[in-house]
Amino acid sequence: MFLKILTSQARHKWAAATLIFLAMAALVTLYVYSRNTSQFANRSMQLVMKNMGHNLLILPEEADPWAIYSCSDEQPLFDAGTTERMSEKLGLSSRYYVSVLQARVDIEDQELVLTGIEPIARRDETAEKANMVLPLAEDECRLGHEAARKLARKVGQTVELLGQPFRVAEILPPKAALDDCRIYVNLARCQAMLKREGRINFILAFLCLHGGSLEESLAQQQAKLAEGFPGFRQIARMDIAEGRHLARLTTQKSLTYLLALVAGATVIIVAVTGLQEVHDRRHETGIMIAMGVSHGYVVSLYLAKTLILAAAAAVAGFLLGSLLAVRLTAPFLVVNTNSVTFLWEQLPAAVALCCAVAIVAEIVPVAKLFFLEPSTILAEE
Amino acid sequence: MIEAQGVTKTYSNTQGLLHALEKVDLSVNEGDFVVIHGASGSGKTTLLMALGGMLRPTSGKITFRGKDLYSLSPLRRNQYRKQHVGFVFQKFFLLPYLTAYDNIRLALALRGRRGNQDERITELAARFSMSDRLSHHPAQMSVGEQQRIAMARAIAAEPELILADEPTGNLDRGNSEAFARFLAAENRRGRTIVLVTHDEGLLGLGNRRVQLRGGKLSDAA
Repeated sequence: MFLKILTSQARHKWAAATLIFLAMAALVTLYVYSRNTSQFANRSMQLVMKNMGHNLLILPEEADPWAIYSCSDEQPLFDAGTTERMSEKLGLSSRYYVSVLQARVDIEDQELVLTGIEPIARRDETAEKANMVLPLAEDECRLGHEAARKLARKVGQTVELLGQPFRVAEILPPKAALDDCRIYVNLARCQAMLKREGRINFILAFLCLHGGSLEESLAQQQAKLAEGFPGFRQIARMDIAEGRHLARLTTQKSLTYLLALVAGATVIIVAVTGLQEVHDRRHETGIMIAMGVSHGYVVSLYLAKTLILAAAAAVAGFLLGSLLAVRLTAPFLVVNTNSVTFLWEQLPAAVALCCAVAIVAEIVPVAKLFFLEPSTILAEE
Repeated sequence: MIEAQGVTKTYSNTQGLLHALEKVDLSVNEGDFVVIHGASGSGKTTLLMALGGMLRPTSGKITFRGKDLYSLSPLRRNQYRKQHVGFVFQKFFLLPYLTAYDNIRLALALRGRRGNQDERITELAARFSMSDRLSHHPAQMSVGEQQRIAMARAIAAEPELILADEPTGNLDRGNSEAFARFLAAENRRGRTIVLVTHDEGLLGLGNRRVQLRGGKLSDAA
């Protein structure tokens, strides 16, 4: 009979039930759409920021960074195997390592920077977010924009570096930095040409943030580095690191505020509808209590109906929100990331959110119901 | 069976205190049919609600078979109404979204009667000449029919006491007389009835008539 009354009540006041359903479905739709979209947008933003380059420079403790920045003869030299060992320490927040050896050289009367590179992958790096530096074959080189201009080379042409021929595999876009004057080659070839086998000058890495403040992340990384690799330190490229951190904060905060706003509006709609319903059904409540029903039973009718509507709205909202995310978001998230898709793992959270909002919204109507005086209602003319 | 002893009910409003009932004493025995009459605002409904365990008096006691109703917990008072009392109101208060059948079934279900109640409901419908209206919703019935269904609902679970508040207030003469006959028949079946009315046509009912005037009770017959 409980279910019969429940369904009959919902059918009888179908407009109110529909309004509650729609309000909660809209909440969940927005929640799922925003969360889904922001998750992928955040991921895209991570990739965008990652493509701006490495944000960590790892060098020996005693080394003078100036020597590296200016590519002088005083640069530190250390074992290239350090990078490999670093990549095996999964507790570090850094990844996408690149071993770098560099030296100023004269090529065709132009002073350029010969740069040997070797990307080293951690075993937990995914193909989706690969290293931003691609490996080079032994007979290939990659020219910085200014280097290509000075040498007047195009992709596919050959350039002779310290007496050895290299095919130009790629010309990089300008960066307005020293990188524009680099000639990138395979690290092992570079070491052989410079007679510095097994040695590198520094390591480039990318610090991944996992919540918390940027300063905390950097301090934590430095502590782990000092623990695993004593004698080494890091210098952060704060502009890139901060850009990524702010991008993450922006998506997370805008999502939180938006959801709070919508949840608030939904609570108001459901509460007002609930109050109206309590008022409209006061005679039913009165007669039920006169028949010996407890207030708890009447309240459970309200709550059960609202929770069933909330659960149904959550499922409907999840499907609609996911569909909107797939249809509306996918076209503009053009970076190389996963396809926007239904995130089924969000369904329980959506149902929980919707039910929580429903319960919060029903607090006032239920309180009013508890204080209904059946003797007054039933005596109404 | 049920007794009011020195029952006073006072409401306070902006104009001061309003005495709805003043030291009312009323004793209703098993099988009695008591008619309480009086003008509007004389306190009839207040007294009925107090007898039904739904309105705590300001002072005085209401006892049912010797137990003070208002010393019981709200849950026990619910039990009292569930087990012993059937209400009939002027406005019927049928649940509009349930059929006549389900309105009666609800009363049985709420009182713990589970399973198939077809036989009982059919018997009640026949008693009130409503057999062909069981599948109808209240909005599809006349006021007289609605009141008969309300009466069937009130007695469905065999309560010993019927409390009827102006049950003919919305009925025409013919339906009022028919309803009066139903009440009398239920009383003959052994049910105790307390009827509150200002309908002159019902004053002849029952074995006892009392009058409420300004919250004070006096025996009228």
